[in-house]
Amino acid sequence: MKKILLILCMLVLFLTACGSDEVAMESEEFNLETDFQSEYYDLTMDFHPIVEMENGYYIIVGYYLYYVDKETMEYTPLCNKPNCLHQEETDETKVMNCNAMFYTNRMVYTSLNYYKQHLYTVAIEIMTDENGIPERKYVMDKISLDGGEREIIHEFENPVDTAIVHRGYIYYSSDFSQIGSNEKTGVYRVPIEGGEEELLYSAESDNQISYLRITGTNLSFTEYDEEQGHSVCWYSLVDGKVKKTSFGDGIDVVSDRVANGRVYYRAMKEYKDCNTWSTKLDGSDEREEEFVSQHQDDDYYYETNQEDKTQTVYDWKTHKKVAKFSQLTVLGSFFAGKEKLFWYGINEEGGIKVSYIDREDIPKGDKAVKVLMDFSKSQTTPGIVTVTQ
Amino acid sequence: MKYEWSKLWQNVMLKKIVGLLFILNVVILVYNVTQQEYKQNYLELKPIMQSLQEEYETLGDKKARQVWQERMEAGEGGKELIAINLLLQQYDYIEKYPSYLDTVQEQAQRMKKFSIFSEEDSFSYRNIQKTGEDFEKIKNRPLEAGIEWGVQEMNSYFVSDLAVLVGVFLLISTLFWQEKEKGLYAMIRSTRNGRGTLIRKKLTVLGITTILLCLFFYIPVACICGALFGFGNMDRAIQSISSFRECVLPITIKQYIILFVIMKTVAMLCFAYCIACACIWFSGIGQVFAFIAAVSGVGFLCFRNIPALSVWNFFKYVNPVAFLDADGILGVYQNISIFAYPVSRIALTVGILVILALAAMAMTIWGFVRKNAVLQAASSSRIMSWIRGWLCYYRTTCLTKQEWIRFLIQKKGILLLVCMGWIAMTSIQQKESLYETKVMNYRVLIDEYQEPLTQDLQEQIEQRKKQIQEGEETPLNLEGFYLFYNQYKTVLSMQEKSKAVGQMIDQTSWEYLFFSPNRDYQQAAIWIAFLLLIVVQIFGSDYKKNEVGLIWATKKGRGCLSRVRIGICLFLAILVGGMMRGVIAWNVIQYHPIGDCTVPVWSIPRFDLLGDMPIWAVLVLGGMLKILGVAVLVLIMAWITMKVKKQTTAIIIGILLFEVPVLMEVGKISILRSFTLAQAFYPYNLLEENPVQFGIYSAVLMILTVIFLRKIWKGAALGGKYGAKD
Repeated sequence: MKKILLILCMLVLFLTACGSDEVAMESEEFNLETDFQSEYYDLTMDFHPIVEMENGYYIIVGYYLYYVDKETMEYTPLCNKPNCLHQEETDETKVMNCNAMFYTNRMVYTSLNYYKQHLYTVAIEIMTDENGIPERKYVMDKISLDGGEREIIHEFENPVDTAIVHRGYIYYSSDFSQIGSNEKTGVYRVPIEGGEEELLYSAESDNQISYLRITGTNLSFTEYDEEQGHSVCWYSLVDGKVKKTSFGDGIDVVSDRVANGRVYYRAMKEYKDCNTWSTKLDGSDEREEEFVSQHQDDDYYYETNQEDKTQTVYDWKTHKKVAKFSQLTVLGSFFAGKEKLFWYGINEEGGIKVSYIDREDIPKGDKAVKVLMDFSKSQTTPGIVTVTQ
Repeated sequence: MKYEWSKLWQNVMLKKIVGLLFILNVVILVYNVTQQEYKQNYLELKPIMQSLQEEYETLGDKKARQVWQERMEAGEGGKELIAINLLLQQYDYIEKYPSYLDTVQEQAQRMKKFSIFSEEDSFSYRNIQKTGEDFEKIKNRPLEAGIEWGVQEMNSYFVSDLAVLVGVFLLISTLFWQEKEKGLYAMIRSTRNGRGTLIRKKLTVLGITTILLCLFFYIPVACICGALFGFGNMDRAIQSISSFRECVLPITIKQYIILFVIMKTVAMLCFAYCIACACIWFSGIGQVFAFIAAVSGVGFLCFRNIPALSVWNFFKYVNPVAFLDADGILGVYQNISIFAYPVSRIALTVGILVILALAAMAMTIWGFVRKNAVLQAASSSRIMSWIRGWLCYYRTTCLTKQEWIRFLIQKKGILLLVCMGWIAMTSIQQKESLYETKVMNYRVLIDEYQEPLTQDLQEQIEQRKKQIQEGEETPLNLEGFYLFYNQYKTVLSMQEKSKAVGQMIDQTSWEYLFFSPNRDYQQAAIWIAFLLLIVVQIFGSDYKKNEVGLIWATKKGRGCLSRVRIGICLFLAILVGGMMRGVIAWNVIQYHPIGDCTVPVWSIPRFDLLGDMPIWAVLVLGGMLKILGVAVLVLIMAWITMKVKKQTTAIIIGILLFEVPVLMEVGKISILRSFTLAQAFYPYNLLEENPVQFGIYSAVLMILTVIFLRKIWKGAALGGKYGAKD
């Protein structure tokens, strides 16, 4: 009798564990410990350079990773060695000793991820034999929160365009153009604890796939086709179904965001925003919005003017202007975080500038914007290492 | 103790080898300097630097800089300008050093305020605290510019480490193994004063001689580096040298050199005691050698491959290779996390070395005193009786089978083969190699145009280039296209001089197959270690218990026995070599295709001296040289083993003759390449640079093969000279 009870208990525990994983995957509720932070992605070169933690932010700027304390909004390189000169190091034997330094291919969209008390980012390992051409491999680095430990947890089968981490899996899009191949790009998934790569989606012909992001239970990405232009694809992580949103007629659908229970699509024609569409989360009730905006969150929607580099913030309820900002830079990104808004882009010197404003100060406009970092080009790259594209 | 000393003193072989090692140590150091142009430049710059320093002291900083600036702008002086630049860099560094130390303190204070570093129980917090305190100790030390190359050369020269290790192995074989080999072990264990006293005396003598050996090798190196390059003012702080910026020891250059020698000596002492312990606990010299090779190999891999930020970085800094990295230990500030406490690398290294040495001594004493040889024989005889039982069903009078069983089962050769197979398998490539974009695009073009370079193909390529230049076509990567095109032009120019038709071959493939010295020499080091072990085991074990007299009186004759043993050794050599190269061949076929091997080898631009020889012929030549090399190695080792009649001595000579030159190649010192078998393991660069020398080298190896084969044959036939020991 006791044995039967014991077996039953074990069975129940086992089933509960399995069930928990499925519930976690199917849950629409955001979990900071495990979920991809979709508010920190944008359609630029530095794709997802910020992750938010309970006490601070981690930001990749150039080749260096920084930690920003939420309380003081001061930053420091993620290197626990006071004797390290970080990007000012000129001794080539010591340049790679900095814990905060990451060698990445600058053509790979920079993506920083957080998952269960560790950071994850794609890096390139260079292997050279004397007289030989250096080989490279694309790997996923797992980094401790103080930057003191780093290990490779996965070597990718294919060259990587974007890699993100969500609920126990690494999702990445391949980019064979980096190796001059016409092989089909695809979206892959591999368990973070190790395992085989699974192909989730294969592009048609030689379409490019990029801008991976996840919101809730949907993985979305942009697929570029020479004839149809850009489309947004939604891949359901629950049932594996793919929904493609494409408007044709020369309109590129390049992005989507979820706000207030609806999905908003950014549509462009000849590289200019033309309209904004939205649907419910299940894809129904498709409608064209009266406004044109590139970013949305639960509180506001944001309209960007690329000509004068301004950004206007509107309230959802009143549709009235709340503030106007002139923080955008060339190829700059905008991130509407939970507590702060961030602007991240290239400054006049070719370096990187990061500015922010607290959400409660949004109505104050530009005057309340603070500069977090303003680096020259040399400050974003190591002193000695030669970067190859 | 007098007996132990007299054993060492009367060992002629020991004295000869140590003497030879000493000469080689010095000659290689000096020759290495003369062979490298930048080091030659240092010799010429040395007097100029000294006179410029005097000028600086006379004129003062401001005036001296002004005068030097004028000279640099005038552009005259050649070497003097280089010296001025170097000195200015030093003076700038010295000027900025105090502010660097202040920065360290400021950063330490600032970093503790950040939440990720502020947890007091974390390694980060403690490390920040400790770093600040350690750098505080070297504040206000006066720095002075001067010659730095002497210290740098001394730090980078590693041949003395190899020489000392060989010497230590020789000492241990004399003190600990000689009695075992002569079968006197049981007798010496029954000493009047007890085994404990005997083994302690052996360990004491070993310790003293190891220290003397280290001083004998390391001090001359320091003196020669000082004489050639100079140390400058040796009483100046070590931090005056910019590469020692992070050294937190408040020492001078003189004290650093002394500490450097001490550090190496402590490491060697620890190794000596560990190897002595292995000699006591292992029953065969082959096992001891395999143990040393395995520990060293794993240590090398850990030191080289484990990243500094890995969770396993403890093993990066705690291994035999890391213990010999004295300049890294003393000169680089490094704290390692031990249960979240930062422990300096110096303290960790010294601590581990002392603990290991003491533990090894204790184990040695215990093993020598307490180890019950009878029990051990009984336990091994349980295994042997199982094997005998199995062999009962497999009795044979065939000599070949008997030798095979002896090697595979009795000498546990099968474990060795499995190990070698596993090592070979780790080199199997699992996926396609990736390179930077221009190279990948170059490979795509190679793949597209990998056909005979006929007139049609030439026109196609030229047409494509024209289209790209005129903007009619956008290549995937312009750099990649020109990488391809430049190679095409080179191959075409060769084709024009020849009657044959060439082909485009992927550079990444030929680099992988023909020109990967790191890989080839590392494989060679493992291959040679294996060969030394098996040859000495197969040929040398007869002398251990004086069985040789009985074995030589075989029914079929000694010649037959020799042939069988040589055959086994050569077969195993080719088998293991085949495994290693087979994996390379597999990788080439799968991921680095060469294409058509019948095309002339000048299709590979580096092979421009071999005429129209096809690629397959070059592969065959290279393979043959390797086989010749291992054949010579096997024959020479067999002859040496039969000549010296002691496995330990034979192994040591083998290490000296064959392993050390290859290890030097791994460390990028090629001075002995042409004079040793090291060249045989990397033959293609010789074919590339000097085919005539390749021919001469091959002929020499063939002659050596014939000579030593005859010697062994002769020895086997005559018996007397190579027969039973006196």
